[in-house]
Amino acid sequence: MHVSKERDRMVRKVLSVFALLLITGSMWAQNIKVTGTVKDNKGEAQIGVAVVIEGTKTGVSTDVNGAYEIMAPTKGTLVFSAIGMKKLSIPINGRAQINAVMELDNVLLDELVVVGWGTQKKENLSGAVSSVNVSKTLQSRPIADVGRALQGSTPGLSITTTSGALGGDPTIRIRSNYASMGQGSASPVILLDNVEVPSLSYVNPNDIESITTLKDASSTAIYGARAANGAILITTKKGSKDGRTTVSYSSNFSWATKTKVPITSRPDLELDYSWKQRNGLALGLGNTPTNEFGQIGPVYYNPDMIVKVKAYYDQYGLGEGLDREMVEGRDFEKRPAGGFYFYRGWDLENMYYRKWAPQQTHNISVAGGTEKVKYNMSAGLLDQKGILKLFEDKYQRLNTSGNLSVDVNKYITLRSNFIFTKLTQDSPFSFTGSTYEPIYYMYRWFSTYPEGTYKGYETRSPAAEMAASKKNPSVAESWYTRISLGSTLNLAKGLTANFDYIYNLTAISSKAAGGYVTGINTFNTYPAGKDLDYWYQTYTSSSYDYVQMTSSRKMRNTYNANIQYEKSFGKHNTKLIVGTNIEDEEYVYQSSKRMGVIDYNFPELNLAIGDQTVASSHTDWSVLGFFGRLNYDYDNKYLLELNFRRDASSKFRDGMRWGSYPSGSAAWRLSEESFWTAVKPYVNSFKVRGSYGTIGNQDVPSSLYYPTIYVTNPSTSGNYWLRSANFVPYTNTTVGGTTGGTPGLINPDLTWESISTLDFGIDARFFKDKFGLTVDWYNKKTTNAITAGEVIPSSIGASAPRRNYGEISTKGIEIELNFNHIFRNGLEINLSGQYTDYKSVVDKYPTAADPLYSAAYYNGKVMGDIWGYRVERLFQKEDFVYGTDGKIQTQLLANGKTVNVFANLDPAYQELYQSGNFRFSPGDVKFKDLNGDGIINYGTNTLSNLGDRTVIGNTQPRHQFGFRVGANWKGFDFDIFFQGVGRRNLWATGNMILPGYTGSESNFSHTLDYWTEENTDAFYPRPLDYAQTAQWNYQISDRYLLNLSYLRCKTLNFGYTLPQKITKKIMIEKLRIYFSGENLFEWDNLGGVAVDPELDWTTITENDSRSFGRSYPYRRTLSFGVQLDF
Amino acid sequence: MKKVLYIIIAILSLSSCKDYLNKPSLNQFDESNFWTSEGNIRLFAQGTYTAYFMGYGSGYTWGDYFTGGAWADEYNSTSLWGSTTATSSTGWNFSYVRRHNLMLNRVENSTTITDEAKKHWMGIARFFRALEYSDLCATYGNMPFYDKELLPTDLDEIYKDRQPIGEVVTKMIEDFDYAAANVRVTDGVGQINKDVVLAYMVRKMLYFGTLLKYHNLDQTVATAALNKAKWAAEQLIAGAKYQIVDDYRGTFSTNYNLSTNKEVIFYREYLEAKATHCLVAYVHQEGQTGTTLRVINNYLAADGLPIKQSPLYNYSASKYYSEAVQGRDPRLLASFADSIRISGVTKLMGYSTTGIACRKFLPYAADPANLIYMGSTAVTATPLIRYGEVLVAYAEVMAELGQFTQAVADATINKLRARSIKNNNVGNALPKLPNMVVSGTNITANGVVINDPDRDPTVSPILWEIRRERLAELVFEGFRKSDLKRWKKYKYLKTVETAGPTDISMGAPFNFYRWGSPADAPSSPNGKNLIAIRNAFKTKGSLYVFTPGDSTRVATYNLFQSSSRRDWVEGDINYERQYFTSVPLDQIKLYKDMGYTLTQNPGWDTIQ
Repeated sequence: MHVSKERDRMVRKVLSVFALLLITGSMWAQNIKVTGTVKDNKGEAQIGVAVVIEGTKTGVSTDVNGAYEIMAPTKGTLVFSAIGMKKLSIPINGRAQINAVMELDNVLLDELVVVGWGTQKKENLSGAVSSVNVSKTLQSRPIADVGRALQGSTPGLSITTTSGALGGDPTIRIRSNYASMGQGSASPVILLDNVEVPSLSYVNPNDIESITTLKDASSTAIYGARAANGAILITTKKGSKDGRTTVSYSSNFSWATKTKVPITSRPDLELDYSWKQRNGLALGLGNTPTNEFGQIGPVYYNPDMIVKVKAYYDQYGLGEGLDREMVEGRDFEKRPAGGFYFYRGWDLENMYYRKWAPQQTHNISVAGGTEKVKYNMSAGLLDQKGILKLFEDKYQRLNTSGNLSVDVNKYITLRSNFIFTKLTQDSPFSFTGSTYEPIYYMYRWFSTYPEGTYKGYETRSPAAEMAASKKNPSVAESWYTRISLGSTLNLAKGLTANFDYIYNLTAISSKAAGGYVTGINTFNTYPAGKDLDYWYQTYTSSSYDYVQMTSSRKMRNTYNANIQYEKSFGKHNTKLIVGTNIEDEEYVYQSSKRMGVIDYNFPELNLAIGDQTVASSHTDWSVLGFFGRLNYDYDNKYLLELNFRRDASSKFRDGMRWGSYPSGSAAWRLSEESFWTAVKPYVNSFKVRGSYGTIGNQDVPSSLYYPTIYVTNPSTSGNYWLRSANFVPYTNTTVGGTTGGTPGLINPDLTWESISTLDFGIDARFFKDKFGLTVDWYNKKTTNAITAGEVIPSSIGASAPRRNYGEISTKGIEIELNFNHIFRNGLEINLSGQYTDYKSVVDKYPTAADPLYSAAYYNGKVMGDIWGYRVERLFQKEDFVYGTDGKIQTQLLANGKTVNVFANLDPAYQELYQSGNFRFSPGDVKFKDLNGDGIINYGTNTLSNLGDRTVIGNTQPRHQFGFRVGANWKGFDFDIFFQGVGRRNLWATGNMILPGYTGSESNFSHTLDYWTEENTDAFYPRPLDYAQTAQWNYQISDRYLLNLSYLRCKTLNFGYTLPQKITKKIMIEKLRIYFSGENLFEWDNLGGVAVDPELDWTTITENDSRSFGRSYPYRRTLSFGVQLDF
Repeated sequence: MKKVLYIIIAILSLSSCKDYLNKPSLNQFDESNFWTSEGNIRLFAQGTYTAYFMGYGSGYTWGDYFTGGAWADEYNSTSLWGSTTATSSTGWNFSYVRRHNLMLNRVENSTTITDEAKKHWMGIARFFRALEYSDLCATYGNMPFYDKELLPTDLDEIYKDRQPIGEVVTKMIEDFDYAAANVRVTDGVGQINKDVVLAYMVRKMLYFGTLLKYHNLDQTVATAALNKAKWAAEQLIAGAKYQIVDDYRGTFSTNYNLSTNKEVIFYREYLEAKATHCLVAYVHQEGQTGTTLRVINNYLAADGLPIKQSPLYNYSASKYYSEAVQGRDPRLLASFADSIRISGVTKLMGYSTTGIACRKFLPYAADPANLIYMGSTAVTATPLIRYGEVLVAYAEVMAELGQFTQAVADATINKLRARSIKNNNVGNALPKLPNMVVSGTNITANGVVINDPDRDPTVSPILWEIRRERLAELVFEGFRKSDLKRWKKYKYLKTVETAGPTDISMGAPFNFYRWGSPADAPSSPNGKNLIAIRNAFKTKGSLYVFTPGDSTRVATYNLFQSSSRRDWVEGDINYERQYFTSVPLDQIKLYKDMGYTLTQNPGWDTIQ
């Protein structure tokens, strides 16, 4: 990968000067003067191309117009060469003018890749390192952060999000989701110019020069301690020494719409389906159905009323053309016994979601320098609006950064840089507690639930609540500041020393003010005869009458020092680095909350009069480590790298603190051997490599090694013992709420977890570099994982003390392919792709002799496996035996359950899953009797006897891939990037996935394919109300398991760069305009289930089993932008 | 160059500094320096309170009140005898045993608190341990008893088999005795004191005394436990600090705290936006799972006689619900609504599946416009243990010990009957029940010997009447299922006899063609509503018709005809095993793998 184009250009110039220096002037008598210009295949004049007479050291280099002039023998040959271009030889044949067209060399074999504490030539890499094509991955895309942009860019790098919510960091994993067993985190370390950055959101994509992913232990070892799960190295753009100042400006305007969201079904079909669900048990028993149901408060429905809903829909649709005011007699009618029949369906999607949410980004940067001074300054702004219509939710980022480097004299370079980022996020205040967000309620009730106004009053709905929080949005802000000071000492030729001190401050604050919402409380029951505005009241609980502010700051000091020495002896090249890395961090958090805000125009803590609650947190840790690395190669053929790191962490007690971690890698470039000559035209480069190493993981909770008493302060609505209005401890009259937890059993000898990686790889290039292939196989194994102690009986009353015991390993494969070609007409195409797959298996864990299949870990467990039943089909009428009365015959079993009698099965076939008034009947699910015992059951629930359960899927993303097709032609550029996951399963609950999960709530268009006597090959079973439990037909099974594999067009980019001839006239170096799209379309295997395939349970939806899918939608974005360089 | 070397040396020496890596916890107590003051010990003890004194619960989490009556006759349950063998350790949990043992040990070894404080807090720890073991033994029967904090290396202790329940109850008695002798008489508002210990001692010793007696587990310990209950109750009676108050319903529905209620020995306090619960909303506007006709029939008629015997009540007159609740033990109207409440009939109070709605926990002022009565924002204080319970328990203890005399009746049940109770706290007081009079082996009321045709013949007439009084006094306070368990009377819970449904599977009886007031004329809005409900009932078929063909007297609820019939076959292990829960199979297997034995309760040997 290119470090950057600027750098290439610089290197090219420097080498040209070298070339010139080598020329010793020997003129031949029969020489003629040859002139000409050198251009590339796009017609751009090439500056600084070396033009040398073959077989001599005579040569010149081209000037700024690409022109050259040389005295050369008439029968000689001119050789044109430049870095990044294919060497070109042209016989003179007596001509006086020779114009040359040089072709770009597709692969820069001298390409430099950023590695730990330095750079390495790509051809000389021996570890598993991938670099990202920064210009294609980050530039001219309407993305809000680097994390999401990296999705699909690098083999082995997995980027996932759980919803389309604004802000926040995606989950980033390198090679495994399970490096640790419950204690440690599996997150890779993200290093920005060699220092950890807490979140990728703090980095302006535009400031990035390179991104490299270090995947194996050998590559990351040098970072030790926190790089056990891999490292993502980011370097920022620096100034250049060429004396020129460049100014770049880019901007992008985009509009986002939701991707794939569920659509509420037609109002009457929805009500009808719900009515059938709630009568499902009665109808199944042949009882008379209940005629009428309430949904909530005054909302009732019955078959007669559903007919009117249909009539309303036929006449008015979803109220298009009507205003929101509800008219009695048209939109609803009074129910004689109190409450109402609501006929009007609401177009919730249009009410709640914006059609297009705008976003804009602007970036400006200035870079330049002189011989001694280099500088770079940049500023960026991102303003992203959310998709909510009734509340303007938004996400903003402001970045500034500066970089200055000064050569004081030939020995000393001083440098300093700063980064400042501010993030702001506005979201609506949640009057329904932290469990729910507006979208939960939007999808909760039928579309006929009153969402309009009556007599001008809003009804109780998220719309009213979002409107109420408009004035006081919940604001979360964070500020990231980094100041670094450093110096490089050029001590002698090849010997340098670097010293850096970096201070990081991350401050995060939030403010939320609740209040009261007044409206028509349509959650209350209405006495007969009362109008809809009878319950016009303040309906929110007083527990939301508060203002709360939180703030935290995280301060980190980093001290880095290292000495590097580089020397070659003949064909032996060596490079040595030794250094130290010391870090400490302190984290302080506090929150204050006060009830009873006087005036919500001024929601401040000191303008509130109620009770106050505060909380805080305070933690710190420190690590220090020493490292060394030796690189050796012989003739660029045999490559060897040895690393050593010794680390200490405050997370372990004195005596268990230090760990030593050696690692190494080696590679052999077979293509440089003489025996390869025959194959060289086909395989011009071939390298095999291998690495092995171990790194310590200290990313585990603090204070694991001594017993603590955790003190809990009372929180609002908590389950605590109330004593007094004031919580003042230590007197016998006012202790209240504050409690001390039981100290656990501890193991003082806990120490580092070790993560080892064995990696074998091949790098090959074919057909003169047109085609490239990289393959890696690895086995990443965690040993000494901190796990639960040995299995002990419950009688001890505590978990067994943790110990360094567990082992878990991940084996995987990564493939990277690329292809480049330039056609004679100048059309350049490039294709690239990457593929990753891995699987994590528990090797060692304190496992019961016959563990429960549901245990979090046991020996041999494949992480993410989902156990469940296989479904054969739905039962049909002919599966049952009927009596003379036409009813299904029943039988009373010994355990008191009455079951329907099957024609060809044991009456107790699925009896285990029968409860209450539910009996398996036509339209219900028939599970497969996998063990052939004639009965469906789960055996002992343990691995030795799982009855009819088997592995039906896996929650981990498998077969992750991405591929890109790009083309350039005469200033036009085109690039399309696809990304996908080959397999991911999820067992989800809630009405979107399992219709009838809550019979009184929404039904969706995609769930209407349910079993009836007329629709016998339906996908969903007969309508039933499952009372919020995955029971009866909804045992975990393959039939209703989500298949979240997908192939998505992540990015499409189409641009045009104006010819320089034109732009130069207006002093513009480069002007590019483009169109770009994100998430434009996708293919998935959800079989009609209308949720985005990237969706997962979020921390909010996990709180309620009904709510899968009721989270913030993903975005589909169209954008236009401009890039300008002066 | 030299300078650079100095800088490197300086950095390296800094990094070798051990202090740089010592980072003790900043926001949690390190246990080794925690047990140094009484304040810290109190803080630790506080963490246990809500485990045993949950009261009405918090948020949407229930306590034992109201729903604690599920699976008993207080509260109709459509479940079958559905307990299945536990495969994992839910419930089989010793973390509180460890917590109390740890506290006991640390307090005992503390060198910085006074002897008096040390004894008090050791008493608290032992009181907690007795409460914990009483919960464990009530669930599982036999249990291993531990009096110290265990380590994973104490194999013979942690793999100990269950000890006979009699031994554990003996240990429980020792703990209660120690607590009663050492816990402070007063220790501030809302804190456990000696009276609280004594009151819980009455409750738990009555429980285990009768459990051991009727299940024939250990008659010696049974008697010892009953005598402990007797002793503790007598301490409280003699202390004369508590008295029965007139406003029965008010004791359960007072906002905030019960500090001025003379009947309440220990209560849980609630406050808006701090600690709130949802019980009021459940009995207020939401639909509640109703109680059964059995519970209503249990209340004596105002003449002190059972309804089937009382000439005043005139059972054969086939009363409707609103008539049946008049002229009865006044606690009936203090606990239940005075008219039928069915889904769709909009009244201030909520409706019930059986038509019988509980209002024991409903504040008189409850109003849907006031948020503290809605959702989970209720602030009514819970009377965790009250003098009324102590008295009715004392009466039962004395009867079990064969010492129930007129003097005991006067000191207990007749005190409860002396309450002056008003319907809905307005108007004149309802007539009081006559005194209970002991006459040999019988009870008389107004001189009439009570002879309840429904009496279980295996229960003596005196005990039968005391048990009746207990249900009337403690209805919906979470005792009924445990009472039936200790008396070994789960058979009362069967919903069906050969002749038809038992009164446990029926709800409120009403006139299918006329109910409510004359204002409910067919043309009135409410009248129309009634017709709609009636039609709904007709189609639903969930009514029980007392006389075939005659729909003027029907019961709202009919478990007999639903598929949820519940039977009880005496002697059949599949039923009898319901008394003690299964020990989790994973534990049994673990013991076996390690060469130890953990004995299962009878009837749970196979997975069902």
